[in-house]
Amino acid sequence: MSLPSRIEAEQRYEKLRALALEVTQNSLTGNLKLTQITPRALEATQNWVSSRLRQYNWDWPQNYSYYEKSYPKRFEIAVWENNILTAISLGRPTYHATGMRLDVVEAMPRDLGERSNVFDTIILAYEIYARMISANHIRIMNPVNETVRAFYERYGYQYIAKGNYLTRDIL
Amino acid sequence: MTDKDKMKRLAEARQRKDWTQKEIEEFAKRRSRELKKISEDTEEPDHLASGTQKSIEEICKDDDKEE
Repeated sequence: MSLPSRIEAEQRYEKLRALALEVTQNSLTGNLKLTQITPRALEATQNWVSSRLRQYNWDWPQNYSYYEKSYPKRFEIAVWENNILTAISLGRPTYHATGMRLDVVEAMPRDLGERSNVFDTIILAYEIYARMISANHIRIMNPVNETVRAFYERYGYQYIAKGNYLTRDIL
Repeated sequence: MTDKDKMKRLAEARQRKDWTQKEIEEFAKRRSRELKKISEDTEEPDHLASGTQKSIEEICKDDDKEE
């Protein structure tokens, strides 16, 4: 992608990301606040390192920088509750742009403090962004364990072993 | 929602390329209610995560191009 078209794409999809978060925010009844991934959100993920529940120490600041540069059409969300980061996620359209991939998501491990459920809010935001870009399904890539996979299945997602993802049409 | 309704909605979604702002907002309200109801009946794992077992290079390399 040439530099001008890369910048144009970033600007165009930046507006869609902001709008998707605004529409999602307006649909919520609780006290969660949604933002894009900010430096403050990335810094807050460093507090999760001390969790005993966290299976992998994914480096959000470093990895976000890489992902942000690679995917102007990405979707990103940070979820805040009482000014504390409670979840963060990154995704992008599928290769043929018929779906949205949720590539990475992590919620604050609950041994670090109480928090509200976040998945319903995050997946709603993905579905709204998907509608905006005319994608018709969501893929949740690489569930971290069997418990998480079973949890996604409760939301109507179907597991596809080849590719290790769960999928659901947007209805 | 019946299976017939689901099929109808899916067929419409696959054909549509131009959802209006109003339609998206209505969709958001409906899905918010549906997802909240599931959330109330479903215990979220103490550590909810996906993709964190992969390196950023692995994630970016997996582009589902071959499908």
